[in-house]
Amino acid sequence: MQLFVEFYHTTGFGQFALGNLMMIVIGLFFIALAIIKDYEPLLLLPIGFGMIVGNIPYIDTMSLGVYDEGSVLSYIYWGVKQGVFPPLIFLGIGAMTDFSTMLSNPKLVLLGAAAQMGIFLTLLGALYIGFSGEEAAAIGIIGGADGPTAIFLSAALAPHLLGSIAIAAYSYMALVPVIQPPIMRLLTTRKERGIRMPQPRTVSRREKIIFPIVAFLIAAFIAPGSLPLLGMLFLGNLLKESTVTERLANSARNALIDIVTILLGFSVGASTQAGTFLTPDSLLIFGLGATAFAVATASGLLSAKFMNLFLKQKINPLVGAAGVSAVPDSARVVHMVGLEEDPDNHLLMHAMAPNVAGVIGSAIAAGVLWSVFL
Amino acid sequence: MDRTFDLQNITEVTAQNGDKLNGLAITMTGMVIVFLALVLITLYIVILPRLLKALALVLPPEHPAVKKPPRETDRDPLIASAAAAAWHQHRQGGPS
Repeated sequence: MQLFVEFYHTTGFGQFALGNLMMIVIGLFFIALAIIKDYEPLLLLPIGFGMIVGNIPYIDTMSLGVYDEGSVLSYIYWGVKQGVFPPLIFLGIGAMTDFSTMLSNPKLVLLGAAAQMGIFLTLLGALYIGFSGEEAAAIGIIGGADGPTAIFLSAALAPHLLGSIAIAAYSYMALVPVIQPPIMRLLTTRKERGIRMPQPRTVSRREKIIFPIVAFLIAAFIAPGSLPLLGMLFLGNLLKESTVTERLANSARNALIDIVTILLGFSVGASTQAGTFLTPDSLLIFGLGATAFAVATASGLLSAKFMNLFLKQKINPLVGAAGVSAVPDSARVVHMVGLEEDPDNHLLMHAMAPNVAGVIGSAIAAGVLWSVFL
Repeated sequence: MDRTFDLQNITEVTAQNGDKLNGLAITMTGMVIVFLALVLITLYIVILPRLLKALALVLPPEHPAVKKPPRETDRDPLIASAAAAAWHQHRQGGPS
């Protein structure tokens, strides 16, 4: 009997705490969102299951969790902690991305820059609340709505907040269809939402090949901190556009990005052990993350309206909201909100321009913040 | 950790390396750098077609990327029907 009691204390039941239960419920909620609502299922499902795995209690002497040296999960988490996974994901994103719409309408790139205001205004908010500079910078990057960038920067500047920041960033990315439309409707008139934009011009193959090389040189020389992310993003795009490395491009945009997404999502989820995750700071980070996202969306929209004051060929201000860089979800949301106003107004292609510019912008912002606090 | 909501936190930031920084300056500088980089990329995109036009004198003419068509045998209806017949026979337990 004594042996049985001792064994019971080593089981998950014996050490289960309310915090673990809460985290498991959140994990189940993420899985439900992924399966039922189809919100970012590729991310939310592994994260949600990882949260369940990370919150099964075990005795201290067992080396099982992501924070236990030598455990299997700690080796997987190493890719997150050392910032290895985010550049690999950027390689895949690069191999998927078509910069044609951006190349055909370059002024839309500026909307990708404007949306990064969310990052810097949230940094100020986090500083005001009392977070350290490094922590505030890592929290602010949630406004870039770019999960890999948020993980990359928080791994470098505030590794103790990595779990909360990653979960906040991916949650808000998944909730793009919920968060953005009300802000879009609030800040634009029906007439503005109905603005039609001309079809993008055809971009030559040579333009597509030269673009990633020169754009990388410009961005990396200005913000060398963005080198790992943008280097991989533009390499992936060159693999695709050169058309001579189709096999590599295929691997990058299919097998590689899928493997890394599974490992990253699962290990980030498993890092949310109740003891380290359920803190007042996590709540503040979630609040600041939501603010960052809303401010970024509003900045993009208002910048498009501002640009319209000077442009003959008006921009539909909705496309500004896609500058937040949650690729391609925010572009899709822009498209859907545009269709509500005019069923023949297809904005998806136009919204992809600020969307991919936002990816570049948030990586540059991360590079700048990294170099400031290094 | 206790948080102190204070505007002074924004203007007096101490980095872990000991540097004294100002949050407002970081924000302004950061936004200027992001805009500068993306404005330069925009300008580059604007001049790229003109640049390519000028370089057309030196560069070989551009041919659209041609994908190799699938091998004819892949689409040969005779081979396809022979394969289907063989598979059907195999499923029926006939000679293979």
